[in-house]
Amino acid sequence: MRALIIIGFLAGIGSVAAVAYTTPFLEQQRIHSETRVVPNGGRLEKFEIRVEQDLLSNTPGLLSESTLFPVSANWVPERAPFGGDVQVFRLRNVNSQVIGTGIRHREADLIEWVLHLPARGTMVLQGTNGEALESGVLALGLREFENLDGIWEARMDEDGVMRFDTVVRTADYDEEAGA
Amino acid sequence: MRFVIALLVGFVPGVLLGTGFLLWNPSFDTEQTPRLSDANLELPIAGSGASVVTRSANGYPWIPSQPAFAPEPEVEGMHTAMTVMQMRTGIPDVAAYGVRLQTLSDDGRPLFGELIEESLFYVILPEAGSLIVSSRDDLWGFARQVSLPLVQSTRWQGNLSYRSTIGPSRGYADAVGLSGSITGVQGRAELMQSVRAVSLTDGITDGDSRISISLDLPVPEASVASE
Repeated sequence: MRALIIIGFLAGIGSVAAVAYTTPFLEQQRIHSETRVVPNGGRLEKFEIRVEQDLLSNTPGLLSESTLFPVSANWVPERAPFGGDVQVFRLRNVNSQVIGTGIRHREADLIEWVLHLPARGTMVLQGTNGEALESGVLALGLREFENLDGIWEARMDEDGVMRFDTVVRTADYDEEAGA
Repeated sequence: MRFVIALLVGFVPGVLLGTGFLLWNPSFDTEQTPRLSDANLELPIAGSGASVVTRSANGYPWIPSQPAFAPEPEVEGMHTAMTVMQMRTGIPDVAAYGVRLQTLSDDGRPLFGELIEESLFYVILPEAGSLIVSSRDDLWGFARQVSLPLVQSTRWQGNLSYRSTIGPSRGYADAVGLSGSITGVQGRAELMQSVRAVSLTDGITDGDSRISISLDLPVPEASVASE
């Protein structure tokens, strides 16, 4: 009888350890990335932002003519270290699922995007700001996008959706050799 | 029947003892003192020196939204909190701007005392440019010492100070300059947190957080020449 109690006791401790080892605090959901291989190497991925609906924050600097959002935010432009503006948006894949967050920092005709996909990593895109087209290069990648080179463009369509095309490939890719 | 009862008599105390050990295990304690001794940039991200512009909790129980109706990131299946802030930095003494994105990770396991959070900070510094800090933090100490007591009471008061950074680079967060005079400059960072009061409804009501960053800034030519 004493042996059974000891076995039960050890089984109890073992059960707690097994559950604590196999069960994470929470289960995060992963969404398949919608990417496509492009001719001559590289991986194309498209993103979307519904500019009005997906805006989370807009903080205009002293030289910006854009409007503060949310309007009741506690914003002091005089304390901002930029003249342009910084906006934060939800970021969607081509199936319109929200897969991350996009931060846009505009300063005159220069632009910096931080596309953060929590399940995968982060891309920092830098470039120039045109009338309806923004374009440039992948300046930095983190986690899944680490050590990648790339180019991007984003156009504002008439339906109020900003559509991104990003093409990334390994940094040591030899374009002439094709590999 | 007697055998089953005997097994249960052993099993229940085994479960209780195992659970108690997980919650009490002192080897799961987070560090309390900073490790970075050569920080050349210090950013307060909560408490004194930091002013929240807007914040979306998106499922985080201890982060209140501000304003209350602020739109949320709503990332599919990934609770992501967003904070936009203005900061008065400690070193150097300037005003800065930052966006912080926090996501709880499913990498952590209770057996090892891990409640992992991935954070991304986008920071704009006056005249210097912008930088990004990618941090992996362990919130187990906070969960054990603050969240568990909140099951019994709606308020927690005390003094919990800890270094939450555990990665991604050997116990430090990664910092990289993106533009301006710090373009391409790399460095490491750590996050120190201090909590004094937490309410079940309002989240952390009294506390401070700061990121210390050590950027590998190029040595000025004049000082190289003098060596």
